[in-house]
Amino acid sequence: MNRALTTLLASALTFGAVVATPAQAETKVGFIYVGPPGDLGWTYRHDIGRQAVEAMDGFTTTALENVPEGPEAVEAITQLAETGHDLIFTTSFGFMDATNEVAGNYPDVKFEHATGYIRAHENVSTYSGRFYEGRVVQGYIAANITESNKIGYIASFPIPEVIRGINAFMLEAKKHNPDVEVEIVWVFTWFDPAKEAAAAQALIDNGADIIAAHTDSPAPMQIAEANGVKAYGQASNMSRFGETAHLVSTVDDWDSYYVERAIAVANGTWESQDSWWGFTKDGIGGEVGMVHLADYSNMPADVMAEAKAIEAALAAGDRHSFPCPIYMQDGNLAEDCANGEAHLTDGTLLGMNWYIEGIDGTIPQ
Amino acid sequence: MSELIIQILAASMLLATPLLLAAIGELVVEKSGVINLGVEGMMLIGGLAGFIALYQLQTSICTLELDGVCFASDTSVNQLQYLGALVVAAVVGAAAAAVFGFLTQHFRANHIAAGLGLTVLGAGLSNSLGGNFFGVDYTAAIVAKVPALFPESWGDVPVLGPLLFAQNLLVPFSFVMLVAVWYFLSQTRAGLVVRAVGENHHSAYALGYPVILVRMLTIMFGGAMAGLAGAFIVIAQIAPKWTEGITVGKGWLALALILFATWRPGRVLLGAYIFGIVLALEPRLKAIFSNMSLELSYFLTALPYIVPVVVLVLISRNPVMIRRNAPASLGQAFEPRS
Repeated sequence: MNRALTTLLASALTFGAVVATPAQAETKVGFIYVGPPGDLGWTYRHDIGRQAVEAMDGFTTTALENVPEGPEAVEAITQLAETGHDLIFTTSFGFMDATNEVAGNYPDVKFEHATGYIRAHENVSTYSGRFYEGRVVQGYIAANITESNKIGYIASFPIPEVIRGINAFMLEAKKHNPDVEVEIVWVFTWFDPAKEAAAAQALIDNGADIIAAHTDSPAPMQIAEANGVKAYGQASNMSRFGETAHLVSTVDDWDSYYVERAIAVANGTWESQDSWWGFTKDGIGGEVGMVHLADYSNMPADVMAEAKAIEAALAAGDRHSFPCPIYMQDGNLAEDCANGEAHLTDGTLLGMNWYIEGIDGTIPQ
Repeated sequence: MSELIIQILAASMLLATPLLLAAIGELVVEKSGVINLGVEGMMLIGGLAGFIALYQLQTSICTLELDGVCFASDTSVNQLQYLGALVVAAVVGAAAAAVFGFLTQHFRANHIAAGLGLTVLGAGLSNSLGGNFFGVDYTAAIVAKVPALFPESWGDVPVLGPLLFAQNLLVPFSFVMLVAVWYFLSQTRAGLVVRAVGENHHSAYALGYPVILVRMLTIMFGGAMAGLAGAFIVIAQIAPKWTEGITVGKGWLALALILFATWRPGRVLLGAYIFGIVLALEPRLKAIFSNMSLELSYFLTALPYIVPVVVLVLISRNPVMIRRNAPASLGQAFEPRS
């Protein structure tokens, strides 16, 4: 009986939308993807953001999939610029140089590069999410439910983005359970299910009872499920791959940013900028940001309640992911903390290439 | 310590089996004088077909139904349904190979170009068909885990438990097929005909052997084995899940394996398991030696790929070894002389 009502409402909304559409030039938004969107992972979440733009009146979108990173990307980006796109999102770090090169040739087109830091022209913006905020909550959960006190961490590449996640996770975990240890395997890939699975199995065989992964496939979650241990979802909601294993998923959420920037182009208010949004856009309880947590499950109610409280505190800006004092692996106080900062600065986080105290091993570099 | 060795062996079986399956098939193809570079494409198509078949065949009981719509269901798979999915994977793999066979044998197309075409076709077709083509988005479809061949409690038996009883049907099958192919090629008359066709197709034809038919059959056998290898990766290696491009180059490794083995079945087995063991060792070494330098870490990651290259270089320095084992007509189009 509810379905009939929903259908009625949906048709009423659609009808209203059609009637309301004014006759105006459409804003064309292009997207460059490094992989296929598939059903989960990095590119999938960008495609969900694209669909949010497409759903607005007056906007059409185009996506080019499987574009190789590096110089080859110039051709694909140029193709979008040549075909009348007003705004182009290039959604992988490796498109950085190509994006800036094409932007120089098309001053009237706006370019947005994800996770990069070079804005060589006035028509280039950069953006990324503070995904480490999700790691703080993950670290809290791990500290409270691990029995072996051993966390297995599948890391992709030794870059600040990944190291930041490991540090945020362990900083919070150590705070609540000083005995917790992390074992890190660097797989040097973002996507290779067999390899991620082999790494997860090795970590579990070695005693880990919680698996965290900074790679794209659900293989670590599936292996955790098969071995009766716990795991976190990465980039998108992976709960369906671990009925008893899934704890919480950190989900990339580009929807509001893409919608905001597309509207800015349509209104002529677009400006070059760098955006770094966490759970909330401004970090102090404002609009939704680029990261959210999905489907808390398979943990005691009190742990879940406190984890949600930490998420809320981070979103509201009541606390920071990296509050001082923070000691580095060599025992020295982090420079920002020594300088009297209340927490690590964005500059430090962006260039993070050191482990905090309590993590064994060296970063391969 | 012995537990660690068994863990590594069990993990390497999972990693080596798809390579072994695909390489056994391609070995027979190459022995008949055909080189099919489309293994990767056939693995993807066969893997997707097996996954779709298993999705359709699995037992699904609705646990939460509202207004005739099922919101939650319990799914399960038995060995018979799994077997059905494997047959579909093999048949579809063979059908994809038949396209290559038709092009190269009937139209005498270049083997290399047709094989590369099949790889591209397989990747593209599996991406499209696995999307929403049949009304089900198979990238999001959930399929129940395939049970082990033996009762679950047998998995606790020391040594044999993890290495045999807990393994998937295709693991022992890959060994059986290896022995069967070795026996077929070296001990049977039909195997001799296949080798004769591969060595000198004109002589074989003059002796009255149907060169094109023999090659079509070996090509389709290779496709069926590649399809099974793909199905193993999609369904059994981790847990059932279709992902675009899930084979990530394993088809190419299977091809390299044949050169590594200089067309000998025993060496195919050796190569596949060297590769599997190195791949299984890598994360364990990295977890144990957490102070490993970046150079060593990268080197370990690259090792499974470096080994075939080094072996290939060594082999190619010894022309006798190649000449003794490589089919003389490999990759040449056959045109019956009148």
